[in-house]
Formats: sequence, C-alpha cells, structure tokens
Amino acid sequence: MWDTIIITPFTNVLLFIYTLMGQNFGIAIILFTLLVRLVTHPLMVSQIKGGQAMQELQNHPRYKEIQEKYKNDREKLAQEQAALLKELGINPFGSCLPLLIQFPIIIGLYQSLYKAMPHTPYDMLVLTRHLYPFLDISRILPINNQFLWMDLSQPERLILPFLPFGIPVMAIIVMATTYIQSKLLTPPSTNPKDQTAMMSNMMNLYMPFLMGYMGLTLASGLSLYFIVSNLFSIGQYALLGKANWKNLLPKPKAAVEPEVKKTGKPVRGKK
Amino acid sequence: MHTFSSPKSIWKAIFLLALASLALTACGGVAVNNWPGLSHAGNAVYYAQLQLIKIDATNGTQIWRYPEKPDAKNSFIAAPAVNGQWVIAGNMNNEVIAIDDESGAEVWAFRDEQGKGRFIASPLVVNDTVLIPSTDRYLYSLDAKTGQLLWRFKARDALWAGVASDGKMVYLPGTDHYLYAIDLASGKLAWEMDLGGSMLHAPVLAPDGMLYLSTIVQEMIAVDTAQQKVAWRETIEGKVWNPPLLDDGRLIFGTDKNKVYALDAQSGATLWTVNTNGSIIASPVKLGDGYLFGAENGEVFTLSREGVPGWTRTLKGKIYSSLSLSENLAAVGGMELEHLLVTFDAQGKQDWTYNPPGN
Repeated sequence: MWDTIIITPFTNVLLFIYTLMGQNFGIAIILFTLLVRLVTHPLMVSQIKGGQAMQELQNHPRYKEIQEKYKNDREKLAQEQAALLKELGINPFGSCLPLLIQFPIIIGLYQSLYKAMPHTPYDMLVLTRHLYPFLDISRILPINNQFLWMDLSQPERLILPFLPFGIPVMAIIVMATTYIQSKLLTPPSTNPKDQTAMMSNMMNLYMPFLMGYMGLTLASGLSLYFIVSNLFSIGQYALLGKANWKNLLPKPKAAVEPEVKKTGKPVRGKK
Repeated sequence: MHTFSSPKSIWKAIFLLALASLALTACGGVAVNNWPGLSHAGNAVYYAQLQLIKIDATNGTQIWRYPEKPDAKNSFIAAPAVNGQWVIAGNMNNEVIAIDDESGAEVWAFRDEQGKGRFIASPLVVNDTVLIPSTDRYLYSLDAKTGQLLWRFKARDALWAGVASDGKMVYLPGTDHYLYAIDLASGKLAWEMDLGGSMLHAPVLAPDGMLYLSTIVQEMIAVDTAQQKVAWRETIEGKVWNPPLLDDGRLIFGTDKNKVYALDAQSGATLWTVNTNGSIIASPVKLGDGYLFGAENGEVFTLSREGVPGWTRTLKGKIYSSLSLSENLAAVGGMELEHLLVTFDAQGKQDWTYNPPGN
C-alpha cells in the first residue's frame, strides 16, 4: 500500500527526471526534491499561518485573562480556551495537520531516493519490479551516481592532495543548513521559562548533529536531498517573511552591574 | 501554565525526531539485504550472507564462520572462491579476504584505499590469481598467496557481475553495457563490445570459447570469443539474475517472469519452455537426470532434460540460491526461510538442513 501510493510513484518520477536530465542523478535529486517541496508548498503555507495564529493567540488579552482566571481549574480553562479559539476562528490543528500530511510525503521522498540507488542484486530486483513500463531500463541502468566530486551512493569525503584525510563537506553543509533552518523557523519566545521554547532550543542543537551524523555515514545522495530540502525551507520562510533572521545573531548578554551587587541589601525579611 | 501552549514546536520536534529515527532505521547505511551466495568444494558448502560459513556438505554441521560475530558493515553477499587451501571472498566494505580453509582464520586482506566499492560479484581464482570486480568500476587482479595487487582494470561503470576466464583472457560483463576481454597476465584490454544492457551475473564460458550471458533488457546472448562477435541473441520473457546452466549443448535458465527456458547453445533456438508458479532468481542445478529449480514463492521443483515436470516441494520463504552438492543432492537457500539451507535428493526427499548453532 505504502509502496504503491508513495514510494513507487516517487521512484519512477525521480528516475524519469534522471533520464530527462541526461542521466545526471545529482540534478535529478535536486529537481525532484524541489518538485515535491513545491507541490507541498500550500501545506507549508497553511502550517505557517496556523502556527502564527497560535502564536498570536498567546498574546491575546482575553487568552491571558482566561489563563489567569481559571488557572486552578484545568477543565474549565480548556473549555474557555476552546470557546475563544472558535470565536476567533482559529483551528488548533491548523499548524500540525499540514505537517502530518507532509510527513508521509517527505518520508516517501527519502525512501524513494534510497530505493533508486540499489546496493545489492536484491535491491536491484526490487527496483526493476517497481519501474513503470514507460521507463526504458536500458537508459536507466547503470545509474550514474557521479555528481561533482561525489559518488551519490556512498558517504562523501572531499579528498585534497595535501591532506591525509577526506573532508566530509556534505555532512558539514547538512549540519550548517539544518542549524540555520532550525534557528530561522523558531519563533521568538517572550517567556524564557516556556517549556515549548526550551524544547525548540534543544531540538535546534540536537537536530544538526543528528542530521550531520546521517550526512557523514549515509549515501551522499541523501545529503544532497537534505541540503536542497533545508535550503528550500529557508527560502520558503524568507519569501513569506516568516524567517527570524535575528535568531542567527548572538543574543546580547544581560550585564550584571557590580554597583548593585556591592550596595544592594535586603530590605525585608528576617536578619 | 499553558494548556494550549503553541503545539507547533512540539509537533515539529516530534516530526523531526520521527523523521530522523525513521530515516536511520530505514536505511541505517549498513543493513545489507540480499540472498546468500553459495559455493561448494570437496565436502563443504560455503555460505555467504552477512558472514562466511563453512558447512559440512554431508550432514549440515557448521565447521567455522568468519567473522565469529556478524558485522553488518563488513558483510558478505557473494559466493566465495575456494582453491583447496584458502577461501577468498569480497565484502560490502571494499575488502577482499582470504581465509584458511581448515581453520577459518584470516590469511590476508586486501583493501584498495582509493576505492569506495562493494564486492557484489564472486571472485574467480585462476591459477594463483584472484580476479574480483568491484562497484568502484575496477576489476582487481590479486596474488592469491599474498593478496598483493597485480593489476587493476577500470570499466566505464560499476561492476556487479563476476568474470569468466579461459586461463589467457578474462571476460568481464559490466553494468555499463560492455563486455570486456582483458589479458589475464597484463590486465590490458584486448577487445570490448556493447551488448545493449547492464549485465548483472557472471557469464558461462564453454570449452569451445562460446560465452553465455544475459542483459537486463531481457536478452540471452552468446558471444563467440574467438571471433569477437555475437553468435546469437534471443529475446526472453523476464530477466535472468544468476548464471545459466550449460548442460550437454543446452542452456537452461529461469526468469523473474515465471518462465524456464532451454535453448540450444549453438543456435539459440528454443528447445522448450515451462511456465512456473513463481519467479526464478536462482541458477538451475543438475540433480539426478534432470534439473532442480528454486522459486521465489518457496517452491523447489525438478524438470527433466526435456522439460517434463518432476516433483515439487514447498518451503516457507523465498528461494533465491541453489547449489549442486553431488549428482544426487542439491541445496537451496534464500530469504525468510525457516532454515538457511535445505537439501533435497533426486527423489525430492529432504535431507539435512542448516541453521547457525543456537538458532
């Protein structure tokens, strides 16, 4: 089912683009990723709008008022918040539903990339069984995995003659773009104790390393996909005016005034 | 406290974590999925799937395995070559290993530091030379005693199929559609020809110099190596994934489109065909007076030399590999099978089976 609806069509479109692009798998991955991300663009816009509405809701005076009023009655608080959402016309799932719809598409995109680069005869057998009849297998195989300095079916290292080791350029770019993307897409938090913001910050740190590790160990074709996908997301947010560029700049540290420390003393309480 | 604190970031976190974990589990980079490679020499069967395992061909007892513990990164999928003294195999991590046949201890290991290949094809040992193609486009020629590189030949694209040799020339089928004829001593290209499709299995070389192989565009081809030209080519229904069996002037093979063919080796004329219930991926093997086939649907069956069906047995799982152990005994292996190896005699009676100790 999953194969028939998602992976097989994706794999065939990817390989169709590959044949159109003069058997350049790198270009095919780039174009295919852009195509899928363009198709899912409306979902992304809907997700951004939903997220923004929820963000604005938290600063709404009535929302704050309800929170204060029913802070000891969670059930009533939930009821009042639901009523307010209804009144303001905000769908609480407006930001996560499009994300959930995109989820299988992105996973499918990723899996189809992997499927299109068979590693063993069994993988090849499976691939040939998933090809639509309009694809000419003699033009597809062998799949030309060379792109720039990379073999897209292998983890990438840039070998320089004066260095005794290879540089994992793609893994570094994957890490950098994932970090930038995470920072740009994180909404500013007014409350430093906000658990959601803390979780986002943790993810912003954790994800680049995880993605970088994947870029380091997995086929570089997948790194190429991660990079294009990250750059597309950054572009999408920038074009929609939702990128928080300030997040990339170091935050000014709160200055401690020594004078206050020296002269300040408790004015109340027991000695 | 936020009852409705922005779910966006939480969803994002869950989404990214799920994506990452799914990605890691989906392709972990090291999980190799393939059917086993099987070899037979003397009284032993050599089984390559993840590890190399030597099994007593008379009773299915394990003799040794290499490495002792499975190592997904360095897994083996291709049948090893056995020269009586050493067992030689390439792994999926760009290494060729020679193992002492008696003890199972490593004798030498070859790794081309420039390469990033995987050894999908089985090696061929000719005299004291190991010939092994790699997906890094090179055919490596190694000294069988030491593992030293003698020469290497670069094809246009990845090499998935094993080679054949008459002791003077090496015949190398490529995924790049080319068949290369290379001088065994020097590694120099003698001639080449474009056969119009990727070749994924080793060719079969007849004593008269005729070379038989198939392409992924569903053709069985005979190449006259003396004349350096195609003797005949026949369109077939389906793809052939393992070498055909050459038996007494007949070329026998099955396809992934549920068909068994017997062609006249000289002319390519079809002698007979049989429709099967499952895809045939494994090479046919001789058993008794006929041939044994293993099918992807788990069926093991025999056909006579004239294509008349004999017995059929059904195993749970998929059969992708087969091996002749004697005139009266053959083994099958595959994926998702209850036993890694199952043997049958010519009458269809199941003989020994093999599973690793402890399973």
